[in-house]
Amino acid sequence: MLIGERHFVDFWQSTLDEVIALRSAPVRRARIPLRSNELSTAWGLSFTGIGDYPLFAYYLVPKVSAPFTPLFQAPGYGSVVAVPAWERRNRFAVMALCHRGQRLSDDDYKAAYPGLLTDGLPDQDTYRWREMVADCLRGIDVLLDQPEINSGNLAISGSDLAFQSAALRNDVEVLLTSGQFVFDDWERYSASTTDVYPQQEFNDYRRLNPEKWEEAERTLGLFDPMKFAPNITANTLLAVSGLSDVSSATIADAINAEVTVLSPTEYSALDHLAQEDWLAEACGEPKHPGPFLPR
Amino acid sequence: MNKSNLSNYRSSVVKPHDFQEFWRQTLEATERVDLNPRLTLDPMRSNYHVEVFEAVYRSYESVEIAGWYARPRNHPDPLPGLLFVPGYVSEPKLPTDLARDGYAVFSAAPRNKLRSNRVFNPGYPGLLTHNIESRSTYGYRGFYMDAVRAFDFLAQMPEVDERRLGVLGGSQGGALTLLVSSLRNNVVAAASAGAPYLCSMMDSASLTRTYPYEEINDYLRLNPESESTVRDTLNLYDIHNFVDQIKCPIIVNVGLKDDVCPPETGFAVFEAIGSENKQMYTYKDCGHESGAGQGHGKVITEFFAKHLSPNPVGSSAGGFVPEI
Repeated sequence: MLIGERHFVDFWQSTLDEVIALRSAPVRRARIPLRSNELSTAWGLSFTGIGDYPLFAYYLVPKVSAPFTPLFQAPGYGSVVAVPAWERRNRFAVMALCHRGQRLSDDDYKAAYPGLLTDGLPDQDTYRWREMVADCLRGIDVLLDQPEINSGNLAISGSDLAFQSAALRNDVEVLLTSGQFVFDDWERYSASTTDVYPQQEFNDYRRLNPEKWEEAERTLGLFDPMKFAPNITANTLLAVSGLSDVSSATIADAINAEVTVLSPTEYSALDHLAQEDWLAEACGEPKHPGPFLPR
Repeated sequence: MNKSNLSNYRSSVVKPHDFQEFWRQTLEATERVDLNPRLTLDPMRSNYHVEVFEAVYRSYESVEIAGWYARPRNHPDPLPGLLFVPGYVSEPKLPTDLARDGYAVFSAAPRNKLRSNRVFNPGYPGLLTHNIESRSTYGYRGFYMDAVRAFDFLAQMPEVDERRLGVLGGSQGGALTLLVSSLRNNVVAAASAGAPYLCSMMDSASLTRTYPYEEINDYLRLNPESESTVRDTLNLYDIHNFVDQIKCPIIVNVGLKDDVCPPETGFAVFEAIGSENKQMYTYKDCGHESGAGQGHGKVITEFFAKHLSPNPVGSSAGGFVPEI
């Protein structure tokens, strides 16, 4: 049961219902020898999202004994989804989803960069980001259907889409949020104080469509992290860059579960290791020395 | 990793005997293709300070390449020019911030990038090993030329001062920066290469398990008998073999804990750079963004301001972030 204003709850419950209706839809699983290695077997999963949209996800399964902690890597803001990292491949059953518009899920629609962040505005029903969240929710359902996983230990990592997806499900145990939120404090960005994309896309849209901005603001309000936060019940790490201390603390306070805030430092390699260590511990998995090979 | 150990590393790259001739012929074949530069104003991305254009030109084997061109809206002619070259998986930066800093900026989308992938689209992963067993059709042959021709596009813009041209980028953009600075060494006036990729490629594949170099490991796992052929191809394309021809002032930055582009290969390529005016910046406990969090963006801003003398047209958000 979602928490929040009626408009927010109704909007996302109807999206959830669309996704749930797909649970019996077929999923095709094909081995990818080129991306399989000594640690894990790589599979490509093909399935449909809402609107009968064809989606693709990498799915990597460790070569040791099952079951495994299922880790859903929510896609970031860009056209390419990477094969999951080496340091995750021997411990987690990892899914890396390509949402609609990204490469490998772009048969029917190719996302533009810049452009995706405002695609479909101002109408809440046509705004593309809603479908991207739905793609993540569908991907998680597919992940939980795989035979090798322990469905009681679902973990999610990523930025906005990870945060939003985790909030819309009650079966997420662990949530690692890192990178940069594009929806953090978007009103601040839309005040023309930045040249930096992708947030600058909001300014571009507003400048060209002043008559549509009021409706667009209402739609974007449905993606405000503060509205998702009370719905999160997972053990959460907030390691998002670009958030002010006030925003981090406010979001952390609003989350309905244990939260660790790990503000990024200037030492990015150490930050990465700390995040991966937190993820391993939260999932009950052994720590990994990280991506660095011995010299 | 210890900095002195990293700097003691010696690359195993060998320069093929026909390296100069191969690239001379490739450049000639590229330059025979009419660049046919076209600009279309993009009102959506232009703003009070900056005009943004969608750019298109023709490159090696007549493939159409896209890019963004941005310049200050009200500028004192002529402008210094900057070529921004992209990382491996990122889309080319929309360079309104750099234009506001006073530069005419071309941000290129070489083949396989969105908007330039109708003819050539091996994808990501995929590009690094596309036709890797063929020296003449390896995917980076045209890709390299796309970067060089993007620079030519910029250099021939009427408002650009051809004596004040710079190149910058991080990761693959760092590699392409070194490439363009070498192949256009008579005109590039300043360059900044971050976390350079495509340097000591075979060594890099053995020093990391992180993509994109992991693509080489993936390929050789399935095709172990091809290692010698792959090494031969990569020697011909390794950026390490280009940089002795660089003459301009240049800065290079690396993160000492970069798992994507092993830092020792950055040290090695820096040593091989021909320019006498070169400086390296290293960042402890930094990964692939190679010092962005420790203020390297300001170093780059000041470096280009010193060598290219721009006139900013508005306050800038500033900062250069390497992309992969």
